[in-house]
Amino acid sequence: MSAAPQTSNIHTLVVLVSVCVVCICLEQFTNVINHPKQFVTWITLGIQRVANGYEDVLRFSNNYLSDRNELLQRIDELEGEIQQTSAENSQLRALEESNVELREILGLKLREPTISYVIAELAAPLVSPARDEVTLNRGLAHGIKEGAAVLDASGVFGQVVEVLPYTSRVFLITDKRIAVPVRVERSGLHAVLTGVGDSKHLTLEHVEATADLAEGDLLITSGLGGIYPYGYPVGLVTSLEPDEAGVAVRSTIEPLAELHRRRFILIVTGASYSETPAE
Amino acid sequence: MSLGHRILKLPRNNIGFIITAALSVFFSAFDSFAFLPEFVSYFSPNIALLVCFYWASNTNTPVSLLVPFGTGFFLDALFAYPFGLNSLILCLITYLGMKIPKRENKPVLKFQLAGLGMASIFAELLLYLSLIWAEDASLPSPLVLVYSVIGTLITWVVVIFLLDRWLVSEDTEVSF
Repeated sequence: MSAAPQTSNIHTLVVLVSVCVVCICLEQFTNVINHPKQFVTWITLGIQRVANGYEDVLRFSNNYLSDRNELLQRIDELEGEIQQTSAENSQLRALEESNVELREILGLKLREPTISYVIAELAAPLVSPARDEVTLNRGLAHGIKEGAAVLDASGVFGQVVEVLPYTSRVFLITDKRIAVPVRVERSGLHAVLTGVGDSKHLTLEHVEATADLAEGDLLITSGLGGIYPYGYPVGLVTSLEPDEAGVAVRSTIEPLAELHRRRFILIVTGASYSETPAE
Repeated sequence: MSLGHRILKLPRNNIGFIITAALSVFFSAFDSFAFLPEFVSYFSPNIALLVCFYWASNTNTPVSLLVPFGTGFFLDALFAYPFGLNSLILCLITYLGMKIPKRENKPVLKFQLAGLGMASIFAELLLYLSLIWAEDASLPSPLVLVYSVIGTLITWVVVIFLLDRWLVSEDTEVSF
């Protein structure tokens, strides 16, 4: 290679590397880069859709090839489920009314729940098998805020960590950096649930060996901290073992949310509520 | 010619490089196949790195650094890395690839493999450090980075095979 192209290359490299460093710094310390980033993200989401389109094709062909009898059977099943859900709903309404009455008797004041949701679709699957993150197709334009709780039909899904104009990035609850204040449904014990670094399990922080916690216990959100609304299921206690000193207990929790299978997810945009004693 | 013009000038015969770089983004976007065991996905190679390194070291075509620069931004958006990090890595690796010593217009294999090994370790390390620096990202286990380097080195054989065949088949009067 002659000297001239080499000099040209090193100049180009210096300029491009400088641009990259500036971009990284701008992203870290300002919001200036958000719009160009959103533009590139849009294109990559399209690429991801096309690249993973085989799933949609499989789903479509499965639906298309299902025979009539199967579909009729499925409709019957769904109608049955609707009946069951309606009955359960009526029961829940009755329970809610009696709950309000009991709270009044006990002097507990319930803040009006003003929870509002935005339904989001998974725009991109997990960015890497080793990182518990997903991208959703809702962002600033849809009222999503950084730190918002994300739920699915089965339980708590995660938390929004970055919001771009039309997309948002979500850490799953299995991520080590996410902490969810929870309450054991059976005993009322409060604790903090965190990820352990694998995508299937969670653990409770600082739980004493004498705490009222048992295998099979259901953990629900406590509403403390104001991020996760009260009462949503989070996980089931699958194993408990004391630590070396015998002072604390190591727990393994299985998340209830279908973290790797959901396509539609709810992002909480309104305020959450928690039970607070009346003054 | 001004520096700006020199940077933006795309050398001839770079269409192949652009197409393979775009394809590398496309294949990077694949979700792991559900029927494969989970550990297989940990060996995902850095396809864009392989493509850039290949074009820079294995061909005698002068390559433009603008291609890895652009490709990197798409990868950053795809994998939620700090915006500009993959561009930086790919530009440096492409430049390194250009510097691999050649004998009779062919890269010296030992230097090429050593360069690729260093490049993939450097890339994984920089990506990992950036996640620590960015502080808002979840950290993968360091072992996953080792798997990725292994995956990249193993896939090199496939890249050489595929791209060499493709380029040989394109070696006609009609050139890119």
